[in-house]
Amino acid sequence: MKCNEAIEHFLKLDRYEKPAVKVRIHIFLCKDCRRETRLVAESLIALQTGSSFKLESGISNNIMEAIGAEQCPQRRDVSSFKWLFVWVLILASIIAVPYNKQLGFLRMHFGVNFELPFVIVMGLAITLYSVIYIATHVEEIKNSVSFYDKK
Amino acid sequence: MSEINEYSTDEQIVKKVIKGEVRLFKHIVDRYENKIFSIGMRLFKNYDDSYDFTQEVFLKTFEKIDMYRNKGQFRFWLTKLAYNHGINKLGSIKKDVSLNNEILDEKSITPDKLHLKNEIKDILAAEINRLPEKYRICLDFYFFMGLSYREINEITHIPVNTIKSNVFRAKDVLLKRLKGTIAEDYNEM
Ligand SMILES: [Zn+2]
Repeated sequence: MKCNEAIEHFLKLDRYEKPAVKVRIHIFLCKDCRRETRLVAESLIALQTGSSFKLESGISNNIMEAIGAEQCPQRRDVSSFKWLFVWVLILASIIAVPYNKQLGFLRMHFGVNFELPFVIVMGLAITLYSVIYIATHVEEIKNSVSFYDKK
Repeated sequence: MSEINEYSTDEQIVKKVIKGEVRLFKHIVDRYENKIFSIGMRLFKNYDDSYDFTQEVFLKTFEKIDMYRNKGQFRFWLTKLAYNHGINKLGSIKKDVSLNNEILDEKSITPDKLHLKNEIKDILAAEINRLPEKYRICLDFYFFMGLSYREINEITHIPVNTIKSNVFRAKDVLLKRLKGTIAEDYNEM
């Protein structure tokens, strides 16, 4: 492999893309190419702190003031994982309740008269819980759906 | 106490901002204000509109920061938000300035207005300004925002191959000029 071919290959690489093995070997063995590729790589890093144009003065204080003056959006501290955990907990208790001794007695005593309203009430409870979760996380759900759609 | 410092990643800072440490958002603004302003200059070609645009982008970013949930790199998310906002704003304020318009206000491209700190940046700035205007923003996104070809394509819809060949040409010129100028001082370690 010639030096100019190795350098051309190297310059065409995307960010984070690794050179082909034969190019890597050439660069490893060739002092000139090693020097040139390092020059380019270091320049790319140096450039990331720059920009084409510059503001006459920073705006971060204005922005922070504007943010402070505005009503800060309500921040959610409860993670989706915790929501799911509680959901599973509710579901598990619904499933476990009929096995409870006291309730087993009620069931024996009232039969369907007890079981049907119980299932309806617990079903409503878990539906309500799910609705609250969806209503408070609409944007995130929308985002995740469009994210997976693209994939 | 938050352990955020200049070496913290954007993602670490944003995570804390989402959790309520709103004052840390200042780090994000400090890091990106000139880069966002540069997107403004590429689109609006004048200081005032670009300045307003920069402020709007950061307020919008703060408003929507909940929607960034570690989906890739923050700088990609921010660039996309800024670019889309810029394109919408451009449509609403200036129907006659098209991105394909080749003529840029000469005052805003003179090297002394570019304020690039060192020689590498000057070389690149000159190279960027040699390009047709619609491709300049690609090089800004690649070299200054640190985005990949595919990310730039996703934001601007400019074909990957076009981005790739423009970036290649710029890198090639950069290397040739570096070898001719500062390379003598560059010692192999
Ligand atoms: Zn070589």
